[in-house]
Amino acid sequence: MPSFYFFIDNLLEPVSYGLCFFFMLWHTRKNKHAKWRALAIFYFITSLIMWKAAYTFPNLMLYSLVCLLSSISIGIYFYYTYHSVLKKRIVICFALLQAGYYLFDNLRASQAGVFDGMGYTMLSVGVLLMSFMYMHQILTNVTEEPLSWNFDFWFVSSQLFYHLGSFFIFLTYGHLTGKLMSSPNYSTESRLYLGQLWIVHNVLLFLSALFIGASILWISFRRKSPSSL
Amino acid sequence: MDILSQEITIIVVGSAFLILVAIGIIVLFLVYQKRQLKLMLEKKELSNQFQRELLKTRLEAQEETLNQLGADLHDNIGQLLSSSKFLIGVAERSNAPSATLQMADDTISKAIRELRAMSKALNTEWLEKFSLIENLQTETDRISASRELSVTLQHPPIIDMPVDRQMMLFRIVQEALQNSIKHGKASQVSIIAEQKEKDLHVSIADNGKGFDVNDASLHGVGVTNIRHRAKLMGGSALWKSDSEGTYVIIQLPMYAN
Repeated sequence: MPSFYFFIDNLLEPVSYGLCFFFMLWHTRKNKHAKWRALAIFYFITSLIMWKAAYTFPNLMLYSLVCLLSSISIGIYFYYTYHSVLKKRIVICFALLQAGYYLFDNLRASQAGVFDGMGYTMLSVGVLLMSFMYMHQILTNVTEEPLSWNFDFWFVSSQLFYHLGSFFIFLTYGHLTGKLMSSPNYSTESRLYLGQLWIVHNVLLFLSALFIGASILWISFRRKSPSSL
Repeated sequence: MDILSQEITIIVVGSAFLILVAIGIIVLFLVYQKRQLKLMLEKKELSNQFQRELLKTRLEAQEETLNQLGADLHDNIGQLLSSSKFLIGVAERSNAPSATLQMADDTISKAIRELRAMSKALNTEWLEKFSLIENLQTETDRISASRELSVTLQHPPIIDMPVDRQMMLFRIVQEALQNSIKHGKASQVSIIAEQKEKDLHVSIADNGKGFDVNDASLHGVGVTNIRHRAKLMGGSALWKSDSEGTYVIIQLPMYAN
């Protein structure tokens, strides 16, 4: 039986991805669009990888792989969501950039042995940019359906919430780990202390998963409510 | 450890701030989109109202035309054909029928001409070719000829406005004229149409007894209709009135926004 600390430090990530997979599966029962299926497959694979990562050391390669899979799956999602050709091209550029970086990072000889903050920061910046482009799209294409009934909006909002909240963590985590490891004062206590920062990230990921689930429930409730007819 | 602790605190505070920003953006977006949706629905409703009003206006115009047609058939063609019948009867009993028959022939020819003119004016394209100026001119001529009322009209040579809007405006002016005649008991009415940049200003001034513009109970169906139609066209209608007469100014954009 893992301790609570171990659970939120290591298992909250696979649990969050697992929840996302469950919610996507639920959503694809009614909406069989390829983008939701791609996300469901991504969340399923990622939850397995993260489960493996929780019990593997070192697990940096697994995190890099998740970063690449995130870029591709979210790229597929936004590619199908955008109407504009320009926006679709930006998505392709973003996915290619991430894939290129992944190859470069894994092929280079001098692996730093610390968390790849750069890859995740690039992912966050890309997702934030694409989220704002999506917001621009819904501002310019107002439909008669309320925005709160639009699952795309809630999904993008969950991504905005998670990636904006985690941005500083991604940006600094690798740097702080490297700094701590090279410090003469390195201790298990300080390592655990730094680990708390990753716990914040895990909580954000978990909240964003709950956000997705709550939005599916909300939309389903609103559509069934007689007052909404 | 202390430095690390400080750095982590800064990162957590920064992340918390960004989370608040994210939540703010989401809420702001929901509110903004809701407002935009409300505006869009209002605009759509206004457009639907305009279409309904336009249909009503067309029906009114058709009804008016049918009334006019009935009157013309009775007063002009009916009279001409009656005269012709009478002349043919006279010719039958006459010793020199050729002159009388010639007169009957002339009368029937006139009736045919009148009938042709009427059918020309009433073909199916008249609605599409509706001209505000021509119709206002006909209306003022008709009122000036049949009543003890003088109606003058000033207008620009061309009014560059879509036909639907011209028809709606014509009904507004007709309504204002009816008010001057029925309620104002005016003996003189002046209609001035002026194009000012992208707007058309139409003023209708009479020398009637006037009414209290601030008293809502005196605003009959006519005033309400004028105001409603002007609003639907994205314009406004304003009244000024005293014991010496009433002045209505209607301001409308030439084209729908």
